[in-house]
Amino acid sequence: MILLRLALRSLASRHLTVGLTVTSVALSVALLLAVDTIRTGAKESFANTISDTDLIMGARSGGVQLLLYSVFQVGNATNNVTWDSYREIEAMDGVAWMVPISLGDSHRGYRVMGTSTAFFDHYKYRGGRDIAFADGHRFDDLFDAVVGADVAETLGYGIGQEIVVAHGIVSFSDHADKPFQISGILEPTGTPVDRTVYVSLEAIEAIHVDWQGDGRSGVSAEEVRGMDLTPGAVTAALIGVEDRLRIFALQRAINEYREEPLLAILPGVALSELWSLVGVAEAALLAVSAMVVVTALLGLAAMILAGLEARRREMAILRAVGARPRTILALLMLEAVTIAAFGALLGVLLLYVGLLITRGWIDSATGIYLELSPPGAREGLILAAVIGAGAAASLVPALRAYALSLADGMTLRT
Amino acid sequence: MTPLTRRRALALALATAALARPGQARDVIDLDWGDLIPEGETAILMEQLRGIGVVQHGQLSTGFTQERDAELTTEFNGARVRLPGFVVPLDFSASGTSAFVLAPFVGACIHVPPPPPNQLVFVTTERPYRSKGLFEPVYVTGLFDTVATGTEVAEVGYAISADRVERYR
Repeated sequence: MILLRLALRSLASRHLTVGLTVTSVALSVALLLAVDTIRTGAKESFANTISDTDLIMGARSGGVQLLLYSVFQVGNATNNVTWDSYREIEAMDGVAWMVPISLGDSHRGYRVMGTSTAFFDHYKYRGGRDIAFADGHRFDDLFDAVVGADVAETLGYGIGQEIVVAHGIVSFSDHADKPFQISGILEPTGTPVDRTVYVSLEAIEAIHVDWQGDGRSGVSAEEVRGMDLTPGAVTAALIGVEDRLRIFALQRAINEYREEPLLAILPGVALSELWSLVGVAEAALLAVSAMVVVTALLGLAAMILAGLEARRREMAILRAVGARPRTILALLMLEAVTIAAFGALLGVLLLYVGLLITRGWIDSATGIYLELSPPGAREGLILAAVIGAGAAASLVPALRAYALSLADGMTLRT
Repeated sequence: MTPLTRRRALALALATAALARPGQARDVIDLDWGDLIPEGETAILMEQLRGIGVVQHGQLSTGFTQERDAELTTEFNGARVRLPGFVVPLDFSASGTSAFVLAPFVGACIHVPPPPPNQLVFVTTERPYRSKGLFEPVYVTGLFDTVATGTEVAEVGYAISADRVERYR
């Protein structure tokens, strides 16, 4: 106990250097934990985005690409699926339900997805949760739109608000002659659903009828209501099967479809492929942040070592009052462990404060929803490792002090 | 008929208790994929496996040729088995996959026709398994059964209700 008090007092008397060292350890620990949190958070966000969908179908490209553009709104489709093929596959054996997805338009930077109302029945996220309406209802009029929580919040939209859809993902050419009216706002989900505007497939067709490219079309919003708005093509489709044990036959049938090149993927498989791709970058990031922690701990050891010379008199006095060289060793290690522990705790604090502040921004900017959970076993393990490594690093100066105090004894030779 | 002594009654009670927990009383059978093919079917399998797993050069289409009427074996029904294989996730969440198909080689069912039903096992597990990727082999330990899907021929012949999924080593 005396030793601990001595160590704390000694540290307090050198508060400037100690403070800086604690800060550097804290920053490095916060960085390591942040990388780890974002890593797991990103994975969870991705894995939680879609659930209970057995197959995703689109034009033939790559499995990962299809998954990314159809569900995660990353990248674009290379081609569409004709409506005829869509209908034919919908009628295939084993298909329980099918939800069309039509992409390509946007509203002020948010993607517009043309789909059917079945989307709200069958799209599930985070282990089978339904998407719920915070306000309003599904689209039933041709020019009704349903918006995600982020869209409504960022743009300040309410029910009945008129919005204009633009052609392309980010575009200056609007479909201004055919405005939509917001009929529903969805609950936040922490998935790309929050950043999407949903309209009916027919509406997507309607705004492109006789479309000229300058944002005007020769057909007015009223005239278009009377027209045949059967879509010509969709971008992709989500498929649920009747029996999961007979999923492969359906997948093969779609992949071998003769009329046009199609691709059906199992979302879980595509996600696994994506992970193995991302895994390398992930490991590199973790390694770099671990190296930063090591650097900070080496700095800690260097700081104690540098202080030794100045503290030879202190050590001599300690020896004079009866401290054994072993006690000196313990004292120095205790100091190092205290610094590492303070640094680690401060690092955790920094992480949570940082997360609290940036979480909302990260969610809206990158779509990665970071859950704010109390430190778990993994964090505890990391902290223990940091403190242990701090103790190990302090062995160098501590052993040096041990040797010095043996050699110096009580008489200090300068 | 011997009289029912107290000791006999005790022995009987113990025996019933042991029967009530078959999973723990019996040993785990180590299976390999060949065990899942009934006797006499082996020759067909080798023919089928040729060219499966990769798309051959000069091959425009892999066709759709799952051998549906491959025989299933019922020899291991109800037994606790351990089987190595590769994971084709059917369902997934942040904590891992809890329903997947176990296949004897990587890429089965994904880009090529699936292997015959007697070479596919549907695995369900209470504790989700966090896979390191499609190329990571696993050991699945659990209760083995043949899949009964009514009148239709199943694409996946067997099922294991797994109590343990671990990395193969």
